[in-house]
Amino acid sequence: MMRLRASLANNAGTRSENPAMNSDNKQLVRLILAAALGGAVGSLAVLVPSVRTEPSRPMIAFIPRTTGANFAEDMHRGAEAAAERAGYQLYWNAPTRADDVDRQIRIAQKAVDNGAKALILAPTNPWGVTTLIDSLTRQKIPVVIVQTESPVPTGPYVTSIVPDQAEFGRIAAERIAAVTGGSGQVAVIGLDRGKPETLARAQSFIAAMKAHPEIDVVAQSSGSIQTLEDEQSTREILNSYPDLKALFAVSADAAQSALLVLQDTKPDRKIPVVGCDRDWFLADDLLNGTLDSLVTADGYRIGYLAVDAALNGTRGRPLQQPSPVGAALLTRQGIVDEENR
Amino acid sequence: MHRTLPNQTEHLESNRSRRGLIRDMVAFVVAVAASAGITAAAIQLIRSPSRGLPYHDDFANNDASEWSAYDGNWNVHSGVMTNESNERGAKLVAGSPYWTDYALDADISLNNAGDAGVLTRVSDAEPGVDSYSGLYGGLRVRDETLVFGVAHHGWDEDGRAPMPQPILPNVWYHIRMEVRGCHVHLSASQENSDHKTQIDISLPQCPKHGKIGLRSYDSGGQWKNIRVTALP
Repeated sequence: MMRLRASLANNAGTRSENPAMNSDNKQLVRLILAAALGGAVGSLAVLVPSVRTEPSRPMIAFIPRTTGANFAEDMHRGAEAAAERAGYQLYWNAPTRADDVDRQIRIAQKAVDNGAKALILAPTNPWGVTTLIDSLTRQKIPVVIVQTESPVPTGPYVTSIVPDQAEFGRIAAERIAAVTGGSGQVAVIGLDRGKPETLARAQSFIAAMKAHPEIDVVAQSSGSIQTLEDEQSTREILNSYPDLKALFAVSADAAQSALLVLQDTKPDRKIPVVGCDRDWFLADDLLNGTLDSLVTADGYRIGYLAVDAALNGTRGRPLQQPSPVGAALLTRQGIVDEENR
Repeated sequence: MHRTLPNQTEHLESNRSRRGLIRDMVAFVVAVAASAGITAAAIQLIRSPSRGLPYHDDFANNDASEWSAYDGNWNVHSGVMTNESNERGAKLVAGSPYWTDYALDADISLNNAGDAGVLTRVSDAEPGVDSYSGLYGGLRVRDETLVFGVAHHGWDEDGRAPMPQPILPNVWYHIRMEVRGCHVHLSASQENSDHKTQIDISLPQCPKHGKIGLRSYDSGGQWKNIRVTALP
């Protein structure tokens, strides 16, 4: 390099006087350029294949309330199957707190910003996501609400795939009537205004109980995503109504809390708990007999139908009207039969 | 006196030009080969599965600058990394994305219900519950088990083994996860106990390489003495 500089400097003043030296300089520059170009080509030839990524498939985002729990993972499997069949990629993520609506909105918005063609959302709080839904529908991005009713009117860009919540209440009422012998005090636990499906289930349960006049629904307690608060509410009910014959827990969180409290405070007294949603460890609790039964909807089917609906929207078709997914009672025998299968 | 004829001058010029071209081409080819070789060697070095191993972090001097947090409330004090938050799926990730077959050792203590443990072969991590690809092994209070599963932006539980005693809060447990190909050996034992709870599993498919991590679910937790050693 030093030699090159010296050569260039020496020749700068004599360029016009010595054509041979001028030509030498040109050749030197050409040589350096050839080597530099060769170096760049060599590096790129190795680097490009090593960093190249596969072209990605079109994406649909599914943002549940939480993940890792049974019901959510059932939906996940159904959604994956439908997306795979259509050649779509499924983006699946949830906030680390099931009541963190702000973080859920951020995750959903980021997914859309990253190119999601449609959004499937299980709102942590339906009233907290209306602005997000409005904004997406203005951009003509299909939105499918799952687990709870849509907080905004459904239309060409918004629909919902939800369990028949009223059926949950009716099935639970029949089960509790059967296990109590049709009389006695019962309580409903886990009502959460942030999760309207819990209110709908409680409402239809109380309506269905009118067919059993000997059963007295003595209390309805509020639920919370915070386990300790849930447990405290259940504890208060158990203390206030010592003759309670059964509990209807309108969510999986409430059922789990009730079982923990009963295990803790009334290990010698059998109070049947009828829960909702096959989530957390409730299937294990059914199997070992601590939980009487569960009213459940098919999470796999909900996930599958939600992606199917979203795909229709991405093809420019108006979204179908909401259609409820049926509920069923799951007992210990049902779990045993499942395991045998 | 020697005189150069016009034809001779053109001939000489042409030869000179051809020689120059050949020289440039040779330089180009040599440079391509040399830079390709150097780049490939550099990539191989950076992506070496043994680069940075063995790894040890005892969080001396309260330094956790190598770690990246995805949710949670992490702080380090007196050689112990603590997550104060009971968020679901808070993660702290470190190491090389190219580590393949290795053993991860850590001491863990849980704060309350929920579970806490370690991650291996982590990639594509982002904030969220199961928002990473990798393998998770940890202790779960709810059913008093050692639990193992695979996350691929979703959760597949692949094994659990009951602990001999209830999992106690603020008691140290040693956990070790060995990953070799798609074979995983996970073990946990309470401090000062000889009894090891173990899960040994061969997965049909698995993440092939990735970083290590600490993770808790619905529980805070504490971690110390993080060690990673290459497996032959």
